[in-house]
Amino acid sequence: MKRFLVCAVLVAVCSCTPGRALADTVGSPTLDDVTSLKAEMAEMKRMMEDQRKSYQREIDDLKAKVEKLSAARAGPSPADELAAAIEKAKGEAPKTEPGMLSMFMGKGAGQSSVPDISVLGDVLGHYVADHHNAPNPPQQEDGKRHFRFREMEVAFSAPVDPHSKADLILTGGEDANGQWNMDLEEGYLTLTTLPYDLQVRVGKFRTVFGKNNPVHTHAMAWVDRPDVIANYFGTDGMAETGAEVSWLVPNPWKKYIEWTADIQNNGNPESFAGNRQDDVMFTNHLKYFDNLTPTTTAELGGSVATGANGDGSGGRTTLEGVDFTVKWKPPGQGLYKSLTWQSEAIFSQKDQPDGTAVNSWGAYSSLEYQFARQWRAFARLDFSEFPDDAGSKQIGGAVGLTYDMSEFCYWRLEYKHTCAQGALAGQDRDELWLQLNFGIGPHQAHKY
Amino acid sequence: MNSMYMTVLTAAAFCAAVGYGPCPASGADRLTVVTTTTDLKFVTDSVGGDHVKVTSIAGGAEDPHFVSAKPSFMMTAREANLWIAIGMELEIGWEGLILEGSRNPKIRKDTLGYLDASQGVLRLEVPTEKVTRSMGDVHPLGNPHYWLDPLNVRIVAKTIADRLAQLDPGHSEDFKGNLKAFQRKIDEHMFGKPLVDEVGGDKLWLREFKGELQGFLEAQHLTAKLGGWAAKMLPFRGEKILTYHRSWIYFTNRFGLVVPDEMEPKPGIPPSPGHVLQLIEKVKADHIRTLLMEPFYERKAPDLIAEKTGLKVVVCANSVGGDEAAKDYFSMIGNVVDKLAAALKPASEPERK
Repeated sequence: MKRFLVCAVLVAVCSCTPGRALADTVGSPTLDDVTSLKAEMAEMKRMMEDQRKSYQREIDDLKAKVEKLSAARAGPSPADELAAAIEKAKGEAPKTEPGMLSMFMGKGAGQSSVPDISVLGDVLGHYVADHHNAPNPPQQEDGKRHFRFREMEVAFSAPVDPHSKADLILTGGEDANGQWNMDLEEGYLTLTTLPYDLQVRVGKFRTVFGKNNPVHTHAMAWVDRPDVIANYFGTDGMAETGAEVSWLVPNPWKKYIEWTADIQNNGNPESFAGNRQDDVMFTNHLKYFDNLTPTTTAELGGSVATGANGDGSGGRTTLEGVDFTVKWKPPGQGLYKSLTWQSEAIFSQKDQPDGTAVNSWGAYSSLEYQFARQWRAFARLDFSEFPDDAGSKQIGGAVGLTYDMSEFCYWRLEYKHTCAQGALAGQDRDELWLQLNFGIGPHQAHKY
Repeated sequence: MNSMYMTVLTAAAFCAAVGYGPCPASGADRLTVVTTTTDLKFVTDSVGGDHVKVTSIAGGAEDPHFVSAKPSFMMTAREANLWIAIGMELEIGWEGLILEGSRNPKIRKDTLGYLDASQGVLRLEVPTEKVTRSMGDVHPLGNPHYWLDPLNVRIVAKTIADRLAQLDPGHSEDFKGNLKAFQRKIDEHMFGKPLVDEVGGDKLWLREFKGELQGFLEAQHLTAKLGGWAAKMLPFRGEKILTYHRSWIYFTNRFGLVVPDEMEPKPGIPPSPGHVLQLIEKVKADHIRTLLMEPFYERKAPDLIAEKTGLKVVVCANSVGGDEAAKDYFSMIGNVVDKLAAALKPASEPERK
């Protein structure tokens, strides 16, 4: 500050002194004098700028204090008052008592570690009629009328940790003799945070082959599985223990393309080794999905499975499958109308103990039409040979009606006629089912 | 060994066939946002402006409870930086499948990329007793159709703006500015521009929220300046209407209408003949003049009641894009207000402009 005053006085004196007099007094200014003066002037400018900034800061601080005092005197702004009133109202709202659904969903206080638990029941009334004048009478269930608790499914699902989730599905049911059996239908851990759009499942799970096999019984559009699925994978489909990698394939068109590779025990009795299981089978499935129009979608799938069939001679079974599904659902009327056309074919090459191979195949095509909010009608055509007998064939057709009492309960009526050829000649069947399916608890939604 | 070879070969062949490589970036430095409904998309577009690219999963014309979890939606969600849901279990039937199927770790629940838009809203019909399915499709966290109250949309806009600012702090001032402009638009549509200019939107909402708006306007001699949706619906406060689903409660609550019953005997349960007969009697006894319903419900039962009682059936979209009139949130609510006001006004009274 002192230096500033000295400089200021110096400048003032210099500016007040006539140039000539100064020149007379000190003589002509030298170049050094001018340079020195310039430097002093620059220093003075800098000091004055610092001073100005300092004053400006003080002014800004004072302004802020004044504004704060004014705001405090005026009270909260209308925006703050509104926010406070809303928060107060929310605080005063009655608190939810966690209901059964909330508890199972883990939404209630302290319930976050409880897994989602659901229970499904599937009850059948089944009537089988033998074919009149058949040369070889049918061997199973003919003329039988009975009720059967086909399936009780108990499902648990929850994240295990931030990287994985677990699904356990226990299934029990009555067999044809009325004996109750309980089994693990599926039980697996899914790793959900892997890089590169990968997902891994480890445990027991339904083999991802085609469209129908991965679907649970209660989620099908019909009472029974198509003949080709029953003959090549079993009436409940194929589920084995192993591991799976699936990959959402990146592509320039940003279409849904999923590739799934399973490695599982070859314990399936129909096409593979059954209880002689001693090896693994490999399954690959490729799925392509696209929106044809805003109301119509198409899905195309291809599958290959191969593994030892356990006949003791090192024989293998190889299965190829193609599936094609078209769905139509108009968004504005989606509650009341929809159409699904689903078709699938499976081709099998199964080595036999005598060194030969049986080449056989089967297919089905199904149409389901929802014509009202709670009503759906379906029709399905079946054709199937057998993994070990290409000469025997089943040709059938089924029609039925589903009544959705609610989202969680449906009734279904199905009639099916099956013609048998080859070694099964004469075992034509007429079957009638009445199905009741119901569920409690938050069963996870099924894939599209 | 052959099988493993086949597996590897299949993968390699497929990658070659589809030209495997990194996907192109999805739009410069804009945030990619996926919303579950078109209403959330509209709000996000309004608040995010040029800094966001928004896609909605559900269309405006479909019932958001029953959206199919199509694999193509998983591809949409796969690239998202932010997923915004209505919440309160509205999307419980399909949201999880899409999120899991997308394999996108950025939008998992409990991350910054997942936003439940209901977190700040005023909730109605939050059950205070144990919820079971015998009650129908009752949501344990409260009625989730909260976007039909403009005040809640004002709150949702702030919730979204705050989250966008967290994800993209460089543009937080833009989000704040857009939010202010959006809220101002809601205020002007609700109360009319002259009144908002004179009093201010926050102050008007505060009075409205406390149920003091009419008294305040009278005291300030401002009643004549009230415009917008509030002015159009003012004459019908206390009027009883029927609705199809219990989805309009936030709208009717805001505008002072009373809903004594619905076409559905319980939420999500289609009308039975017995319930329709009961409604016919109720409409006659209570002199109910109007039924409000969404376009995606069947008109058969409402038309039957209309035929028997003279009830007017008003069909309005409850989401942006749900019909021709619902081009944006303002026109969607405006359309409901206009149609209801026309249906509710006495035959002799000219239509309010």
